Amino acid sequence: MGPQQATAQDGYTICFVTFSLQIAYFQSSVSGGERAAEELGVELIVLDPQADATRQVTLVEDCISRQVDAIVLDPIESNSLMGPITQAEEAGIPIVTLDTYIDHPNVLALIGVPQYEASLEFGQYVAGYIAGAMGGEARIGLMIASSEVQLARRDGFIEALKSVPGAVIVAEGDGRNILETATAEAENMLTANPDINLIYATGDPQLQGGLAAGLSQNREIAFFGWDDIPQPFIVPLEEGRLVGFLKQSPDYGGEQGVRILVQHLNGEAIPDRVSYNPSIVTPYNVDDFR
Amino acid sequence: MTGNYVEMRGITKTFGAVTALSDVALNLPYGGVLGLIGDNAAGKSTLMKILAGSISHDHGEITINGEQAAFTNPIGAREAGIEMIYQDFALVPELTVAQNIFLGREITRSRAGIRVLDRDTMNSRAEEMIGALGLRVPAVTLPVQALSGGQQQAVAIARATGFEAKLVIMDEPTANLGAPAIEKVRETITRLKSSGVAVIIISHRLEDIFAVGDRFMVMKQGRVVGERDVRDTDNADLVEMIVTGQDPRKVKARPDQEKVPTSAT
Amino acid sequence: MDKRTLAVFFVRYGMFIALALWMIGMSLSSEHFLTMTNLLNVSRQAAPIIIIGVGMTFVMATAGIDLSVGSTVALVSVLTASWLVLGVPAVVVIPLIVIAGAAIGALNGFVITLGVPAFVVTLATLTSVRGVAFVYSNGYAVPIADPVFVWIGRGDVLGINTPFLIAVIVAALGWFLLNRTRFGLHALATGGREEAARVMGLSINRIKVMVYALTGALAGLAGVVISARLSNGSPNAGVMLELEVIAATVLGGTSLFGGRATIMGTVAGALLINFVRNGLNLLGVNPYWVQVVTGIILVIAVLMNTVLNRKVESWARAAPEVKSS
Repeated sequence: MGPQQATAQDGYTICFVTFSLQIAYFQSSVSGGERAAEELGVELIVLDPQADATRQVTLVEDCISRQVDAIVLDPIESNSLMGPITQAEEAGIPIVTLDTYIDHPNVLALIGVPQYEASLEFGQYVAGYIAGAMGGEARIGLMIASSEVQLARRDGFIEALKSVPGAVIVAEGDGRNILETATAEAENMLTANPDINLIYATGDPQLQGGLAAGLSQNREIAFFGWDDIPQPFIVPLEEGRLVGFLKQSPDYGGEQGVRILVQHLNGEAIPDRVSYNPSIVTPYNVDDFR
Repeated sequence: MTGNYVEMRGITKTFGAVTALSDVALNLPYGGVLGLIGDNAAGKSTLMKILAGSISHDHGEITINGEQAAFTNPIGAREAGIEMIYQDFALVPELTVAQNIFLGREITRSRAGIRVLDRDTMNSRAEEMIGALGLRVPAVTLPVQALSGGQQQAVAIARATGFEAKLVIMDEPTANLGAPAIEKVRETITRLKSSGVAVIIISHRLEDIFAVGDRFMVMKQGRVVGERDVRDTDNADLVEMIVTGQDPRKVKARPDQEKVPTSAT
Repeated sequence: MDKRTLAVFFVRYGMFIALALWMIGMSLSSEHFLTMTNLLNVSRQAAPIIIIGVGMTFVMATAGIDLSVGSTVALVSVLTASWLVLGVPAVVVIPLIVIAGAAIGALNGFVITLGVPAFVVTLATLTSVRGVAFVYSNGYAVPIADPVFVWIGRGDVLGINTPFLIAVIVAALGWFLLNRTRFGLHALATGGREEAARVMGLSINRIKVMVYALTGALAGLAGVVISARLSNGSPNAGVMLELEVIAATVLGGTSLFGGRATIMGTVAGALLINFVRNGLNLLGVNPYWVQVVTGIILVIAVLMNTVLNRKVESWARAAPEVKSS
């Protein structure tokens, strides 16, 4: 799926600067945005920085030069974007962000799952599982990546686990959002800590890597994680290896991003937070998500 | 000592397992023109590179102007008044005529405390140096690669002769040149000689040395075969020495004895 | 010979002509192109490439190449952020960083003088230095909030953004060094024909170490600018940057084989690459095409330079020998 333009008769021009179209989550987010643009008669310019923070800054600057009406932005590194966001403010171009919160007067809204709060809730769900099915004791391994979003997911989870004193986090591995790296990291973690019986993964590649490592080492581990596209996880769910994961709806997010910008440009008031709760998918409700 | 500008004694040089020079001796009087001849791998270029400071010798001594010389690089040799014109001219193709002539000894001036290249002075000096040789190039500001072969040689000659050299070594100066250019080279050598500059020519063209030289020195496989005064020899004599590696005038001497060459027979 | 002068003119100024034509073409095609905002944006984007490009020009003049500059930027970026967090003042951090970059470059140069090809040495540095950056930072990006850095990254002087100003100053100094000093001339001689330079007594090894140290220092400076612009220090900074720098330098007319170099060309090359990307973006062309177009321009430019140079040479040799006076 490459960047395209939805042609419009006369209407607004909105820039959609995503994160990386090589990742299915963002492809879904962009198609949600394109759906809304077509419906509302908006010309949507999709730009792909390929997960490079510098390139994303450059693309936002180019949008400003192009004098678009508004920008939907999925930030890679929030710090780096402060400059261009201020520039956009001076040019009168409003911005909404997806998934990551940026504290700037020109960012009118955040669309997405509040990462910390959602993982806090999910952590409480996991805590309940530990108390009920594992006798209140668990040796936990974390699989993370060092992006803002995933660090927030980790922190919320850790906070929630404080309610179960018998749940101890023994190791943390960095999968860097690359499947091969995550798999290797998980394997190392499991070898070094033979007592791990629960793994929490903060992102798609981390969860897949953890599952693969657990399978190859034939370990009895309860997996919990964050996911975006459920396909790789249906089978593990059915087999019972994966206990539950949080599924976001990126296409809903992308669609909402475009929608509320148009509302704002039309002079209507908009909320500063458009959040939805991610669904927790378990073996019991997996049929709803096939 | 004798009235020699350059004396080399017992020069030996090996490259790994190969002995390039073995106990070589050379004498060059002030303002003398010596032709160094011999077949390939005789060691002529190696000997001259040692004299020009390009490479160092393993054993032996070099005396210049009565003093022991111990330079280890080309700059030292140049300071002793020795310049060399290499067979491939050793010019940088992309640099101009003037830049090539002054490479390594550029004229500078001070601009606000910083040493800046004085291009105007170098350009005009380069023109003078080439003109003094009776030669001509299209412009001293052209890159050397835009010059013809003969013109490039003019630059190489100007570089070697324009800095008050006392000895100019020329490695195959007339190879691949047409008759007019060869004549120019002979004129240059004569001009140098009449201004008291000594010249050593490595050449396989004996006729050039007969035309302007004083002496021949024949080498074969890293050793000196013999020497001749130009008026006292002919082609056949020289060719015999080159080919056989023996000096027929010393045939009575035992073959394994190398005499230190004295003055002409 | 008029054709020869014309050919020399094109070889020397071709890149500027191409840049001018592109700017004219773009401003006619898009009303947003020739605005002050856009021009300043693009000049800021091109600044780090220009800064490092000045160094790369010298390196290529000696017939060398430096693939490690992007990784030096990464290490510098990470060190900068962590030192600022420790409370070291910016005015101390910046010179230290430049020295660190110079040290990496000098190491490159030293190994190269031992006889290892520059491509291999700087490739090894590329991998190992970025590895060090990751080790030091544990993979995390650290925010930078220091006011001096904010000014460097997003500030301006009389309306010209600071990164571009720094780039202009570096380019001016680089031009002077290359064209007006002995050092620049000797660097060109080393690359043009190293044997000739050697027999004329130039210290080849010292020259090589110095051009790589210079490039390392400039990579450090560019790393400061990049970290300031992005407001963070990240081990992921500068990925693929060396290729952009090399492309800009070659595009500008500096020869990969040594002996011929132009600072102004490198500046023009960097600007052209960035204005091509910017122009195509403004016109709404699929950004993936930008890479293809940039590659094509690069090939055409190098072809033109090589072919025209050869033509100049053959025309010159065919010229009749000028009679002596």
